[in-house]
Amino acid sequence: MMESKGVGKDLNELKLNEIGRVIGETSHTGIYFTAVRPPRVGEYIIVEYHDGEYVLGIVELSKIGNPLVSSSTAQVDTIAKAEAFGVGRHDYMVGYARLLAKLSKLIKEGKAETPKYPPRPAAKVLEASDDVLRAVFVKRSTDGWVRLGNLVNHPNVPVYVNVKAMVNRHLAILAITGAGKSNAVAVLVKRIVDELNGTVLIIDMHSEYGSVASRVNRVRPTVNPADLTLGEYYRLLGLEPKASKQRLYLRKAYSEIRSKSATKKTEQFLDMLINKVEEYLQLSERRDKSKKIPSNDRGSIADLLLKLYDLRDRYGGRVLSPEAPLKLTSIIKVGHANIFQLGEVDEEVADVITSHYLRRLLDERKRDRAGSHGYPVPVLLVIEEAHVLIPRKRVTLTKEVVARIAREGRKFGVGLCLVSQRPKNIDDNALSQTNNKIILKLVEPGDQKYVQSASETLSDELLELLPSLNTGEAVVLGLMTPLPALVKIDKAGWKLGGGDLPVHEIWLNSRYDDDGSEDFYTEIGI
Amino acid sequence: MSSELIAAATRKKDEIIRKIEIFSRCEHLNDVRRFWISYEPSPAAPESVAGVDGSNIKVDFQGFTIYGVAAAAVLFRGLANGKYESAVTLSVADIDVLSPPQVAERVGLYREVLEVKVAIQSMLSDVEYVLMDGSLRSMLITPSPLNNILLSTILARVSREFGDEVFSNIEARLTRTLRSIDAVRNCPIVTKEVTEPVVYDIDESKSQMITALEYIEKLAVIRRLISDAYLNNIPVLFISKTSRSQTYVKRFFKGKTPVTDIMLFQYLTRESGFSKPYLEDKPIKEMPKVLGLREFYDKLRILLTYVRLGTGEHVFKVEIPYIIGSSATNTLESVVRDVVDILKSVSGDGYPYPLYEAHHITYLSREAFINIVNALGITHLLTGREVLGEY
Repeated sequence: MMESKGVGKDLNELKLNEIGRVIGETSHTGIYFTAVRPPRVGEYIIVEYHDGEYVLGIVELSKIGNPLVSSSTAQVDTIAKAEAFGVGRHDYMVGYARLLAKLSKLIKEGKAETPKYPPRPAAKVLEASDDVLRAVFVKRSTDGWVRLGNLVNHPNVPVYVNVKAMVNRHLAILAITGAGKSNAVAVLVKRIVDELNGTVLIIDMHSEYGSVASRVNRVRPTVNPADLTLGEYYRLLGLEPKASKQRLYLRKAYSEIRSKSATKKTEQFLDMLINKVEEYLQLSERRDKSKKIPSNDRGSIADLLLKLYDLRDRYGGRVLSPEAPLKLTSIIKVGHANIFQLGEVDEEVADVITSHYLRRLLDERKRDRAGSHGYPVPVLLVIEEAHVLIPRKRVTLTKEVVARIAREGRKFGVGLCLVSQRPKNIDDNALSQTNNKIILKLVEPGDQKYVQSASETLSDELLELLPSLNTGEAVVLGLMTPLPALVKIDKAGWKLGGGDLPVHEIWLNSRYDDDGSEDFYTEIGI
Repeated sequence: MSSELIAAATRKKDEIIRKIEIFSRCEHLNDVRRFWISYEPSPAAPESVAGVDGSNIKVDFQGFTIYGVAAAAVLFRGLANGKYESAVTLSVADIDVLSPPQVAERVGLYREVLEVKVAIQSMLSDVEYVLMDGSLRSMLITPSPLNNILLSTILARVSREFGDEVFSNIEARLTRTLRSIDAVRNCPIVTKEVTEPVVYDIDESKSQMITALEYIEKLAVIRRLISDAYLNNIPVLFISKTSRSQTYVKRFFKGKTPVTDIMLFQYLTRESGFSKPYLEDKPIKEMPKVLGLREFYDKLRILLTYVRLGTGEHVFKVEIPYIIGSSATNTLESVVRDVVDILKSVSGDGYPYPLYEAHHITYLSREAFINIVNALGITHLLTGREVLGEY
């Protein structure tokens, strides 16, 4: 562990600035203090205990009051008169700080041990210096830490996060659109891949990620139709449970082909499936008594057939391809940022592809851990637009797999990183399993409360802070950070595809050239 | 219990409203207007001004009382571009033990003495105007129990008990302690030092004597305040937000009514201005013949007026000490106009800001005082209210 300049000394020798004193009744979790300047929310302070212990705290609330300018003072003239008499000298400043950890243990052993007893009223409250905070937050990549950014209130102090804790205990990155979610993902992915040779899989719903790291594997994922489960076909074809007849005939066809195709090539699996359903349709049209398909089912079979035609037309060869690689390591490359570009497929297909590969990944990791041949390294799985693939109120295939990963991933080295601008629409089982949070600007109260309910350490005061965060500023919580921190996240250094379009620039730079040729409609005589 | 109260209120609603209407009814509306001088003040900000206020609080234990008193003068100086560049607070506080009787009156008296003493200190600091919270008349005639007993009789007993030199002792100590604010802090009430030996074997008679001596101290410091003000040409204005005074009601309207002067002008006038100044034609009270107090107070009158600084704002009472033969020869109305102009310049929301700030500085909350009492380590002593779960 890095020892910052000067912090090896006794804290008494550091001559930390006194910012104020503890007031009122105290507890072992938090204190109010009066201050000589307005405390900054997110700033760290140190409380001097009577037994010589020092405890680090984070300011969660800051207030300035003046007993002579109370909220009942309604007249502007009255306040102006009070100002003429220098009423400002009666301003008082009060802060609330959550007590986080005993400083000596935090610096010497890197362990955040919370105090079990409160400080005394009138105890000194000191400013946490950059040296002290560097000793807490600066870590080495060889120990599994990557840099995320700097402390907002201490811009000279970099903040590192622990990747082991991130993968083992999962992560959620939550914010409104444009607050810096994708940048945060990019910063983490780049450093995990480049500095730790990590393997990351990004489910990129908008195909917005480019060269996030020095080793990038962009994939337009394909699936062999023969590898798809019956449930995945239901989802691909949009067969809801109430479409029971269509499901029934698909199941029948799927089972018949499966039983025969074990000895046959699987390249034509989708065509075989279609042929089989076409047979059912023909059977339903026969008038002899020996037919096995009732004519009443003809409509349902025809509907199913149409859906299968549509599926083949839209995705046959491109997404559903017998050429899909069989080995997982050829799709999710070890030591790479693997980006599944799903911007061109609709939600159902994205759901099937994602769930398909996540299931395979988890199964292979299980095999690897069991000593069999499987996927060889842990993977951090980043799911963009998590509220789409893992929704709270709908059933998706990905949701089921993610629930398994959330529960079992820790044991097998599959870490989740859920990214969303609508946290309240994410499945609560999945979100509550993410011990680590990077929460950027969040405005919608429902989202805030939902995130709080899924987080052990997000206090009401920090919650109130979320709407006022600037772009790129985030509250970072969980085991991956030595302490809860208000962080200005580094810039990724490359342009994301998901940013706002510079509409006016595009308009200003565009020209409409009338080349005299007739347009399409004129050409065809309309 | 609240349900009983609601039932009583429902039952007595008409009766209560009728009683209140008696207060607000006045048969002399036009007469009131005759006594109200509409005046739009021309603010004239003084270079410096002081606001003085005080506060007192007590906790009664079984057999004795712990009280706290505080007073402060806030001095604003260095007027530049409409703002005062300097603000200094001169404050004094005291905490002590008293035993019955007359505890509440005596604690109030201590507060008044401290207020006057910090006001005197403020005048040592180059101040143009001193604004005092409260009524000069009230200060001079209280504590009321002394009015029921012939004061001269008690003072005769004082002479016998303590010797005639007790009065000059008080005056000498006053002179000494009024030299600086620190000296006042060291000895807030000089009478206590003079009478300290007897407080431990006190009976009701001795208690009366000590209260009389404390009253003498108050009269002496008020005399010093007014004398210094005249000597240094510093107007001292006594300002009351609330008052039960009926000077105008009784003298000019002759009505047997519970209405007070301040209600009369508050509810029956609206414009900014002031009531026709009233100067008493006789001394406030026959004062004791010790330390030359009778001679001084025989010449003292109080110029009384009620003031409103802006249309629709609150009316407050202003008393200006007036010494026959020494005070300025201006007409009373012109004196009051100047005062109103000054008050307007230092007021926001119709009330002088220096008094507003002094009030907040000196305010003693019960919670804070009980914390202090707790810190004294006497919580094992009983107040008698413990049975109610109170303190």
